Amino acid sequence: MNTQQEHYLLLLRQWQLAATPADHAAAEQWRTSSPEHAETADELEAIWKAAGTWQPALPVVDTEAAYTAIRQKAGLHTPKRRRLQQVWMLGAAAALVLLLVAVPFYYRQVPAGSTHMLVATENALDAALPDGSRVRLRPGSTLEYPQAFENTVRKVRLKGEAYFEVQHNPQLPFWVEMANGSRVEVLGTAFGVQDVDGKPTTVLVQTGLVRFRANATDGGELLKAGDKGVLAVNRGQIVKMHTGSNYELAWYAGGLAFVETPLAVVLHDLEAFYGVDITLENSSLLECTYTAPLTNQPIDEVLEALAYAFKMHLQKNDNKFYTLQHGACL
Amino acid sequence: MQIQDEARAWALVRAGDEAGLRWLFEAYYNRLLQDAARLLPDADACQDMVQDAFSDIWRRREELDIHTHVGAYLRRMVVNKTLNYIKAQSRFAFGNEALWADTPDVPFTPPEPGAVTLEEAVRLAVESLPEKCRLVFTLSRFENWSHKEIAASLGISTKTVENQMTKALRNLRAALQNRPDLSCVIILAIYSAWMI
Repeated sequence: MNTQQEHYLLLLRQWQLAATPADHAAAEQWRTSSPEHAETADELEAIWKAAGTWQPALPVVDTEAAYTAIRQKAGLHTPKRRRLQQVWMLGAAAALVLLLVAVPFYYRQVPAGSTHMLVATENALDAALPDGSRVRLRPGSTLEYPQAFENTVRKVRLKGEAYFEVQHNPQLPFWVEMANGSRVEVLGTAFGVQDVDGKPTTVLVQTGLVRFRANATDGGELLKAGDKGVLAVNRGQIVKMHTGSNYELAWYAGGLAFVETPLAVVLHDLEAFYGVDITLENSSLLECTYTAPLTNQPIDEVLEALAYAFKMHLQKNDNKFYTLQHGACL
Repeated sequence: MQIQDEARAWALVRAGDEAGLRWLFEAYYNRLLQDAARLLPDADACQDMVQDAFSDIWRRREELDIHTHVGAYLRRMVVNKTLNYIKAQSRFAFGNEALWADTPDVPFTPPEPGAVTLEEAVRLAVESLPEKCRLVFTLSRFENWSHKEIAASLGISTKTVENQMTKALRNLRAALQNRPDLSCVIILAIYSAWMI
């Protein structure tokens, strides 16, 4: 073993605080044995310390872009503008809405006989409405509706949570009214509603177009696919944001749908909904957006469609682990 | 002070509050980028690595049980991710010791002592180290990994780590030894050490 290396290693161990008492003794002995040794030791230590100041040259970082990328990778939903035309097209197909109502609920009884009251106690309740629309009520929820709808509007009153599939009829709007005076006007065909004490009223739109009003005179907000409207009670206003995902709706709808949703969010939701682990090897695809209709297909089929759309290669490692390779944005 | 804020930020993250993530980002993003860039001279890949570390702790916030400081945890994540990336990208099999043995010392002509600042001279000297030598040196000098840890992580023997460390010292000495400012400036040297 060459002695220079031995001495270097002795010094290194001292700087790295890994030296044994024997190392210290040996280093001291070497150092004091000649002035050149002492000089070499000092010089090397100065170099070791100076090297610790090394800062690699880095390009200027766009901090906000970096943070946005982190949000997307983390599956945090980012508001994003979308084209209205496409929304209208989807609106013609279906509208899904989820409502959460927070304000204390003063349920006004309407005369019996003219209305039906649906009550789901322990199990979810599926029922048909007079116009052929269908509703699924979550346990603990009630829905009140007339024996026959009016000529101008189809009104129902909800307390709790429900998912609706409404018969399409542009001449006869479908309204869901809450006791706090807010209401959802559905222009499409299917939606879900939830109305729970202690939470702010929230409307989630999967596909389609919905108007959410804080009260009868409020202009409200037009909510499109992937939008979320929250009733700010203290302001009496609807606050609109965008989620780009129907993960919160998946329970009702029995599947996931995406509208121009970043792939980072799509993969996150698929992982959560199906309980699988998906690795995207080509991270440059994370910001690509994906649009797919509501589906409750098996995960293999969903991923095959996704892989096909982005020209990726799908590899199934076992029942839970999938890898997506290669590919490019649409 | 720092640690309390960091603990609060982590508590927010645990509770699913994005404000905590933003705090950690502001506090550590640039420093983590430096850590990655020391190991891998590819700024884009480094950004990816650091972003992945942040998104990972967010996604796994409920299962992560971080006993050390979050900053230190993030740093360790970034280093490991970067090493994995380097291994995956490299055609070079790290475990093949023969490939480590025969990298010769690079002939490096140091700039005239008056031509560049010491800081610049240090940068040139370190960045001129052979790739693998620089990797080993960085893990030791900046990440404070022991020779044993470095050996285990790269799949090589401790002996090879020692060889690379002495090679790094030899090369740095050749590049910096005649600078008159070396001995006095080090006293004032600002360390990019972590306050943890």
